[in-house]
Amino acid sequence: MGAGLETIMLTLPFTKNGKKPAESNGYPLISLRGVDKLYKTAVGDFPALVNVDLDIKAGEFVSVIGKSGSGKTTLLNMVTGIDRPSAGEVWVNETAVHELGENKMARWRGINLGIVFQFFQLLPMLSVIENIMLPMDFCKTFPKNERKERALELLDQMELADHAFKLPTALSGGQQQRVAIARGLANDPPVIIADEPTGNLDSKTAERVFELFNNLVSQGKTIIIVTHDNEMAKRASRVALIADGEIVSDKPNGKPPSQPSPLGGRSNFSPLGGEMSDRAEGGA
Amino acid sequence: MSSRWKKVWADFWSNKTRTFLMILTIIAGTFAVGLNNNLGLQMNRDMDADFLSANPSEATLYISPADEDMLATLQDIEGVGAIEGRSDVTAQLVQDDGKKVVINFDGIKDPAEITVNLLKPDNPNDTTLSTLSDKEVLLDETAKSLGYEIGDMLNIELSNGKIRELRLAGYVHSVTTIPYAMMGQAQAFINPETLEWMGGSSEYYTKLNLSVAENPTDQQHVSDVTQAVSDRFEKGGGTTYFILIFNPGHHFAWDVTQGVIVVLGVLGWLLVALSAFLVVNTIVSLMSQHSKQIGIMKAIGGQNRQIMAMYIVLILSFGAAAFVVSVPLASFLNIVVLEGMATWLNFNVGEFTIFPQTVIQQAIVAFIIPLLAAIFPMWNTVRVTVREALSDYGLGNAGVKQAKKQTKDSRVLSRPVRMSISFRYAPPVIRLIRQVFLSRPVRISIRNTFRRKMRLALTLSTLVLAGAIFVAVMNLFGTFDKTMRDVEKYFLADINVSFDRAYRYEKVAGIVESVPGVESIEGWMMLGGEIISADETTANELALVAPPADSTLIEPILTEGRWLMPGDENAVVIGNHLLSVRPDLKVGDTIKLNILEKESEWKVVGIYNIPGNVIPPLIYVNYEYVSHLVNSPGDVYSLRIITSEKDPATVAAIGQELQALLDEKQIQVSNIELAAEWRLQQTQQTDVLVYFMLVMAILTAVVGGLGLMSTMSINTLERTREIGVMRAIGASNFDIQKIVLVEGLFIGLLSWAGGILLSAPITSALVYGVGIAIFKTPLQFTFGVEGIGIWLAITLVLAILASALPARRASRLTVRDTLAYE
Ligand SMILES: Nc1ncnc2c1ncn2[C@@H]1O[C@H](COP(=O)(O)OP(=O)(O)OP(=O)(O)O)[C@@H](O)[C@H]1O
Ligand SMILES: [Mg+2]
Repeated sequence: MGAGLETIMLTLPFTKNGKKPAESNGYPLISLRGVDKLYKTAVGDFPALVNVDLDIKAGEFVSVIGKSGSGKTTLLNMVTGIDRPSAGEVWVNETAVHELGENKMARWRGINLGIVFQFFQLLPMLSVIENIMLPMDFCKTFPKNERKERALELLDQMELADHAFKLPTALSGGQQQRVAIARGLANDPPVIIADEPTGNLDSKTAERVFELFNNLVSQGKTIIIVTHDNEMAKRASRVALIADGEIVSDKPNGKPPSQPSPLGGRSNFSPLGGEMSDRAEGGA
Repeated sequence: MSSRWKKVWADFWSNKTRTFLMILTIIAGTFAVGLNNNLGLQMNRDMDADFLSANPSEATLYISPADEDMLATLQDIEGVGAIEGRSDVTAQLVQDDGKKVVINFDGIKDPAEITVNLLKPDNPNDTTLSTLSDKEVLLDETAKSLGYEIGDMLNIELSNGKIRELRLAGYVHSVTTIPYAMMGQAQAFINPETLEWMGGSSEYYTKLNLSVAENPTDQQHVSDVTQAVSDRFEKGGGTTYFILIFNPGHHFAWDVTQGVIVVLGVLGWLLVALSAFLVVNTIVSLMSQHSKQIGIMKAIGGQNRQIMAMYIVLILSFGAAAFVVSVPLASFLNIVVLEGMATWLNFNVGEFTIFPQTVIQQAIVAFIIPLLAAIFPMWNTVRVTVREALSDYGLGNAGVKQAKKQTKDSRVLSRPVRMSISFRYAPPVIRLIRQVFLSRPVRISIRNTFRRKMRLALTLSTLVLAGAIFVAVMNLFGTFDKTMRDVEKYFLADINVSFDRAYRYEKVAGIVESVPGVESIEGWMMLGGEIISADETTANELALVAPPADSTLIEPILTEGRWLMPGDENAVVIGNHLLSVRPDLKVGDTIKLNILEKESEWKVVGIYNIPGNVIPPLIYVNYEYVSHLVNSPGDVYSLRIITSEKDPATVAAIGQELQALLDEKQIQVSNIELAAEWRLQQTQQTDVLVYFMLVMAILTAVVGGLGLMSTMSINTLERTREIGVMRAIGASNFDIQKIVLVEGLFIGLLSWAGGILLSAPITSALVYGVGIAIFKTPLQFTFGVEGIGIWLAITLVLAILASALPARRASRLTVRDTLAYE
């Protein structure tokens, strides 16, 4: 790892298809309304989330903090559609996530959300570049012959171009996490969701990953991360504290939310709803 | 290749053991079904083609001498296709070592001009037959085993004791002849002049080979036409002694072959079922290993349909690999086996063909069946929600998962030994047993066995089915054996000497008794006869067997009534074969027999059963009575001899000595048969089936072993972490190996017990089916301990072999390896 992440500039043309980035026009990109989540357990129902209301605008960088077991992961699962609320509504990019069927959900998620896991979760049998191409192959977001090029560009952006054809196990933890982020960006989603993306990394590597997220935000992406590290959390534009399934504090982080850059994210929000599928078709 | 298919390829190629076991499993079924199917089709085709091209006769009439003119009057009887007269002489071929073989000579003018039961060159590539000059002989090629080469002189002893020398002019292929190995009688062809020189007739025929014009396989039709021929012949002043109709329109081994094909077909598909179980087992474990990956793929946008397609392609790739291997493998073995069968059963093989229906069945077994077996477990995993798939691993729940695993491990490891207190008071032996069998590692093994219930169920099903098939096949052998022993009960003597004519018992018995080693002798009488139907319109051929009333050389199996008793006069015991042509007969009936042209009335006192084909049907009467009836009291046609030593070599030596002595005394012996030789001939036919089924049983055992092996490897792979933990707290290599081995043995023993239970219904189905197919009568169900014992031994060996590799692998893992796993 030669150059520091600070020097990495996100210069990729994320809006390949010529879409204009959405303005942060006050409408929330992500919106949770009165969300409850009850887990059925042997000793009765356990409320993991209680009447959660949360609005996140396009271009915000939100970090969610809280004690272990407080409901952070459950909250993210509501947004990604990985789990369903027991009550309430979840809207992401004008889509009613709580109403999507399993199969539609998979495709929708692949296109609209980039998910970054704590343990990277790269497929061990595929090379780094194949791992990044996989979401594009599934969602057919880019023409076949462009996918490899795009994967290489993303890797280049993560300063990992030299490692493109290695297996994930040959990479360090920090490198693997950056591959995972590149994979999250593969379909050029407007939203990145990360659950403890730095939990398994040393503080210096974690620092770089955060820098990367900051750059993505400045490109117009909307990011939600869960972290245990309060110092790190402060680098986000907004910090939400959750305790016993309730959001007990939610405040901007002093510095204003990053403004989307002219080349920024594709969060094409409009009152009539950004058709998230039109780009998919354009790419197929 | 897109990354999706890259992943499929990696799944196929990365875990070589699993892929290998999977492919091998599918190969077993595909191979077995392919071999059985194609072999069956080809054998039937070639057997029939060769047989029918010889313009075979469906019936043979043994007649009083008839000339060409008389024969001509029979040609135009309705239904007759071709009729050819032959004159024959039966003599004995004296081999260099003095051993004698019964040999039958048919007189033929020109081998190339026969019209019925054609001869062909022994080499299928030759087009011309050897010709026959005076004092030359052509031998049926199945007698090649006697070792004569073309140009050799054959020493023939005629029934009057005279010796004739014939030059072997060549071998011929006579597909209508029952092979020497099975008949114990060689077939030869000589010209009419030579036949006359051998004591036969060149002008008169002694038998008629009849081929019907149509419906050659219709037993009733053939029988009717033959009867018409016989009636016309008798009207013309001739006498029909005996009519032989055996399996008309088909090669003699046709029925056996059909039985073999059916049984092998059933076993082949059972094997397929077995490997389907294995496929399910392997796929279930593969899917459980992949559930996390599937969750990730779904999280990044993979749809159920897309992911399902990946796994379908994976399973089809296993099938494709198996298909590619097993089609040529089955074909190759098909050729080898077919050639063996052809030599053995005396038919010429046609062009080797891979039948389309064979390949279709193989494709079904290789592709469709594994897919059907796997589709449910695959779908079950693929459709799991992302949250469920990732719940252990979660978006950030790794800590929870670790903790959960840890408690699972520690629970297995730290459960207190409940029996420890009672050890103190137990007697030493029980203490030892407890220490060995209920030691903590063994208890871990047993508990491990039941941890994956679904997998255990599938492994057990595979092994139970394998065991059941194996034991059932062994039971079938046992049944054959029992059947043979049942048949033997009617032929208990060690040596059976038959004469060409009747001799005074005192005379021949006196000669035989003088041979050392002969313990006891009985004189029997055999007579041809007819049973006349109640309305006097039809008569059925039969043979009367007359043992002395106090005979100890027959132990009949009675199904009704009683056996003959001393003092019985016109009492007769009839058997199942007569019943099949005269189902109306029952104990207490009075029947009318025609013996040597004289009618007499008899009372049925019992019904016996003898398995197998007996032509004509045998009925038993008292020697004392029937010998008076035919005015030759004291005369016998055969001697049944018991020797004091029973080993085949001694009996054979006594047989030779008897032969020499009887020759010296000018007694016309038609045949000396040794019990051991006779038994060998009898078992020849069932042996085909036995060897084939043995192969299938072994294949079954192999597949069962593969199943256990894959289960044990999956199990140990899954428990890598917990093995590491055990290692960390001080388990030795041996401790860990023992845990794995004992689990394998435990599963083996469980399956063994289950296999015995399941083998009962399979045995009864097999015994019934084979009985009907080959013996024309259901065989008696026998359940032997041999099969159970041998399968136990095989199970133990398989279990050890199947768990040895995983055990070794497990014990070689270091703590570091195991904790780094995943
Ligand atoms: N499937 C489930 N069934 C029952 N309870 C659950 C289930 N999943 C989570 N919980 C409970 O819900 C609560 C919230 O869990 P969640 O995973 O969201 O916590 P978290 O804040 O992400 O914790 P951590 O920081 O340890 O990851 C916890 O108390 C957990 O025990
Ligand atoms: Mg969590």
